[in-house]
Amino acid sequence: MSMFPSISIAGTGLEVDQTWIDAIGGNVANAEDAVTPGQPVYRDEQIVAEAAPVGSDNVGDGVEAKAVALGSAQGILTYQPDSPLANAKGYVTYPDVNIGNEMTSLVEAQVSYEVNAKVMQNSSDAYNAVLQIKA
Amino acid sequence: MADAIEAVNVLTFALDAIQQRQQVIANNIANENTPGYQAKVVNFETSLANAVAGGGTATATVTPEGLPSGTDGNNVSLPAELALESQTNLENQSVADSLNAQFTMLSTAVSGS
Repeated sequence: MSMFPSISIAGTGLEVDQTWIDAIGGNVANAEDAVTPGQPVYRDEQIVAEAAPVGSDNVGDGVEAKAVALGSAQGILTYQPDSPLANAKGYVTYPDVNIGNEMTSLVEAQVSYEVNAKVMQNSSDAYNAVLQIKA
Repeated sequence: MADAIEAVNVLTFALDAIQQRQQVIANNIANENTPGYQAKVVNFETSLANAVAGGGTATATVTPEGLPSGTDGNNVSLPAELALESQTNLENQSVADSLNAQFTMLSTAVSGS
């Protein structure tokens, strides 16, 4: 634990939010990546967050991005017989990315990022108040 | 003099407890989106009041907040945490100011000027 724990705790929040936003960026950027039949399709990435292990003071040490949960490896089949990427039956494979969900997550992640940044600023102010104490 | 030192002890304890509360709030906010996370609170005011009134040692305890959870098992209320954070920051500031005032007083008493 650092000397100014509230700041580092808010920092873990910022880190997870950043990872989350990066994953959303990747998902949205690849949402329309149709592939030729038999090729691996882009898999949706969801960040799995977990509370950091709690020490003896029972306070907790922030949050961690524990894993990345991958979406469907099959993707979604869309009937587009004219596409050069269509299979024998006329279906094209697209990644299983739900843009609506991604946009909702993006807003959540942004708000979370802002709030953690605010906590970091406030914690810094609070520690500063204590550092001003002198006899 | 003894009173001033007693006041410094009480204020120092309060400052420690307030900082622990800030840490818990930061942790709750950092885990705002963590599935299954349960918010925590720090209690120390009653214990400190009892210790000041009747002697003995005050303690700060960290306990689960116990509010109902959402569908993902998380019960962090962001508005509540933010309000508590502002309040705690002001308390921190006022306790730090009070400590400063106590030290200035003690310092004057010691040096006599």
